[in-house]
Amino acid sequence: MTPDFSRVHRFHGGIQPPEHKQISTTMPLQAAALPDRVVLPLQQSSGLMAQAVVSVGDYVYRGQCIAQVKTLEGQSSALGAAVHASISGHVSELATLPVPHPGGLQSPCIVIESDGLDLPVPDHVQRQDDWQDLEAEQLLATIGAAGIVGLGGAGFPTHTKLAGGFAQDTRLLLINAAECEPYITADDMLLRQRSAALIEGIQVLVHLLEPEHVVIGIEDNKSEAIACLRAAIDDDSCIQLVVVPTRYPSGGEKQLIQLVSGLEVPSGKRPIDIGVVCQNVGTVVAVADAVIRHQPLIERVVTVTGDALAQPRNFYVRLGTSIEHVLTQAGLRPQQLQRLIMGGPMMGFALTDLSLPVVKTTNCLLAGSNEALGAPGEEMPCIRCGECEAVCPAQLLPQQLYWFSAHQQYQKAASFDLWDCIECGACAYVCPSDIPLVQYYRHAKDELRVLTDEAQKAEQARQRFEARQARLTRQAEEKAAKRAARAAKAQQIQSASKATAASQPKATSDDSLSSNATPPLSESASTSSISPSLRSSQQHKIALAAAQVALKRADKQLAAAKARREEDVTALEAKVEQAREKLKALQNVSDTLSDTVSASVTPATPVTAKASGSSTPAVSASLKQLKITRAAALSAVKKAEKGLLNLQRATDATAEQLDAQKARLAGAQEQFEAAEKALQKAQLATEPTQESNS
Amino acid sequence: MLSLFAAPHSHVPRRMPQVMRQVMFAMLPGIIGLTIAFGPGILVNLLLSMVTALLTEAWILRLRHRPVGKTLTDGSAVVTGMLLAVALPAIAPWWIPVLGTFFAVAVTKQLFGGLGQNPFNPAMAAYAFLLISFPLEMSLWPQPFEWHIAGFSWYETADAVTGATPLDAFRHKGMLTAEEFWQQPQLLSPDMVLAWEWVALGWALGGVWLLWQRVIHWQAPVGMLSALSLLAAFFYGVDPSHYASPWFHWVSGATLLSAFFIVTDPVSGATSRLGQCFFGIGVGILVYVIRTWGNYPDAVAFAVLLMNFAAPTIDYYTRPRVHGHRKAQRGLKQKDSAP
Repeated sequence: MTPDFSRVHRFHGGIQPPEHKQISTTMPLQAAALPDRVVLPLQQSSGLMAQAVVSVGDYVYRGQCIAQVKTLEGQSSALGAAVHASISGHVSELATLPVPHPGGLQSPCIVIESDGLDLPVPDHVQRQDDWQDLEAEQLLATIGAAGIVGLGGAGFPTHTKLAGGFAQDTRLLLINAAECEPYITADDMLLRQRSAALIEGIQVLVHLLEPEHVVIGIEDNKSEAIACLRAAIDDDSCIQLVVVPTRYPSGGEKQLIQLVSGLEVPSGKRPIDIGVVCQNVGTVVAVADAVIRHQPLIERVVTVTGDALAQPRNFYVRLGTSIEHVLTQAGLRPQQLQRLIMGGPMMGFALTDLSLPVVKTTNCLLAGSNEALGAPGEEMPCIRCGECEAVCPAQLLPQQLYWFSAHQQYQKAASFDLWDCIECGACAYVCPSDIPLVQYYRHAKDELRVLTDEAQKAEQARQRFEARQARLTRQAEEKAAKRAARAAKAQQIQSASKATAASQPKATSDDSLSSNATPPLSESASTSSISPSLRSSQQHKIALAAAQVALKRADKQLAAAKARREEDVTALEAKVEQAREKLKALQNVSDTLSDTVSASVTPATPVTAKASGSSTPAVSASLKQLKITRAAALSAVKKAEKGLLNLQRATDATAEQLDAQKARLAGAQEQFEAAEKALQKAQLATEPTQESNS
Repeated sequence: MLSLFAAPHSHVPRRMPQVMRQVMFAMLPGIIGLTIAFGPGILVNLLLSMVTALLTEAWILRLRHRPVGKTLTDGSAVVTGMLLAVALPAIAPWWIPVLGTFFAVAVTKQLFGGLGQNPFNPAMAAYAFLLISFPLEMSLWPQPFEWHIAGFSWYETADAVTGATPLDAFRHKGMLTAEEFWQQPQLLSPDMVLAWEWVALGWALGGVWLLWQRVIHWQAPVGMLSALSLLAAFFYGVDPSHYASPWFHWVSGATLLSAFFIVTDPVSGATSRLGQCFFGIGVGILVYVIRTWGNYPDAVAFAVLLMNFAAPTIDYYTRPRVHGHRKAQRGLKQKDSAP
């Protein structure tokens, strides 16, 4: 699909809640008074948490980097954002403190006590290099080092997003100035004051991404900001200003893309997958400040509004400033403060603690009364009125999603495209039954994540188990093969030094060792690689080797006992004698064998099997032939029996037929018996040979 | 003390009790029309139905250990009672609305789990129940504009003051052609037709107001009325001497009442806008079929109940295309999607 900028497109649904924007635009955008103390959470973006690079007691300057994100292996840049000191002073604390979060989480923070001087980094020399000469990687590194995140509220690390846009082909750079949430005017006021900086930032991004189109999307309720933008955009500039109708959630990334270009971000994909990079106005200005003016992100514009404030307005607020400090400057009326919301009324989250810090994603502080905001009513049953469906910007069926989520049918909810829900809250806003729909969807998503996690873990465990089983089997096989090889080697050595072994009688042995311990080993060795007919010879060989070992050990024991002058030497000597006799008997058997079939003996292991075994095939082939004959005869018998049985069962079979069949059966049985006898004879003839193999 | 609520933190002011009040308000023109035409019996029926609805709902909620006060004030039970009452003949005996409403609230609604859970439209299910059980009481309507002459004897089911509804009369015209039928005032008095026209106008007024207030949406009424009109126009065009005109179908019986107040019931109908359109079309077709070739004085109740059966299936086949998806996922087969 190609983007179409000729007209403003529309997205499905949407709502038009009361805007309440004018109350915070009457006073100009100014810097809030500096705080005495800032609390800077180490995690202010999605991705990894930054690691503190300062210690308690350190003096830090304004703009000094105090926490950095480690770049993971295999990644070009870190997914996360660095944190900078927003005031100068001493680090007083590195502690886990409450941070703004819907769940009231605590997170590691750096606390800086101000020295009141607000000194910038002293060695902060203006770099000589012009940003236009910078390579893309350097530019991205500069933006990353400035700790910039998406200031619209999502908090995604900007350099990561831009790196994605740089790596792929960016067709459209979309600047999001829609600011569709009620009450919030931060971007509006920023544009009124700093639209030139926005254009600079866009130029930096254009330099980096080289997009085909640059579009600023803004809602039509910001006439003053639009006028400022028009003035700032040169006539020959390639920047296009698209004014979209005021309709929540036009500022949603997917919705704004659809509004200005007609493109839809495919489900489960990111905007860059269709060649779009979307950046918030505040973020672009922060990029300009970082790249052109070398200022990291230490402050942001915050809309401070609501009916609990005497002077609702917008402030430049240093990051880490306490909410109370900001609200006080806007004329907080504590008796009217019943609700405190960070973010807008649609997607923001409620807070109960005024001491929490302002963070990079704080675009609005809404301090109001229950009367103004309206306490939600009690949840009533869904009557499937379909209002939610009519307003859903993702064109989902919210009532069905609610039904499945509320009844724990999470997979079903997923099959109704739960993951395409952007949690804008339009459905819950219009629900006549006051059902907190977004909460249900979030819960269902959490449950699905847990399910997926568990499934993944189970799959990993299964793979681990299977790999372990395979490894164990392999090791056992290797061990068995080694053992067999060792045994064969020992046998060879033994047969070579047989004469010497016989002429030099030695010490004692231990019966249990030689007779009991070896068979299982030879068993396991033989099953893996050796044919059954050779098993007995191999067992014999291994028994021989074991007997030798036992003899040697007994010999040693005897020697040791002799050395210690113990009394039971005679008993040990008797044992040694016994072992030697046993060994001799075994050797005798193998001697006769090696005399008769010395060349044809097939030793136990595959290693030696290659070297020997040329005449056995003749013997085994005839044996095989006999076996085959016997099997054929047996099957003939079976067949005849079956035929007879069938005939007997059949009602219309004649006596002649039966007799013929019986005769056939008798013949087959005779044949089988003859074959059986021949086979037995042959086996008897070959067996001694096999037994004497070792 | 700061309170914690989940997003969104603001809410559209209109809530369910208000929606129900708007529906009740929109019924006023129709009720006035019925009262003028058929006498205050309608009002008595309304009163009986509303009281029975509230009592039944309260009783069953108590049995189910559910909060009584909160649910009663949502107004849904009262609306159910009212919708049934305006469909009943004005001179029906007192126990007809009482029994019907009890059936609607207790069996059709609460036994299935209460508000939002009922697969069938409670008022129409109760109407069908009454029509099958008590066909005589359900088909006797008083002569229009004569209730004041008969005094306040509206509770007496005297043959002298009753007459067939236009639909009933037309069906029983026998071998007469339509022209002959219309020339026989004793079969169907012009007053009767006029009365029903006025009532239909009342429902239409209320329905248009509901549309304007965005309480209901156009898909279901338009679907139903257009399907009914097209079928009626086709058969009327083919054989005007045996089939009634589209206009006749519009103004007689409960056509407009159901178009604006019954097929728009969100609970038992299809859920997506497209689905509502199909739901309305289905009702329209069935209404025409049952009216023309069926054996009941009116067909709306059965048509709606049959389409209630079909609603879940319609929902599966009318899912909208979700943002970012190439095409809509439709049909009964479910595809699992991963996060």
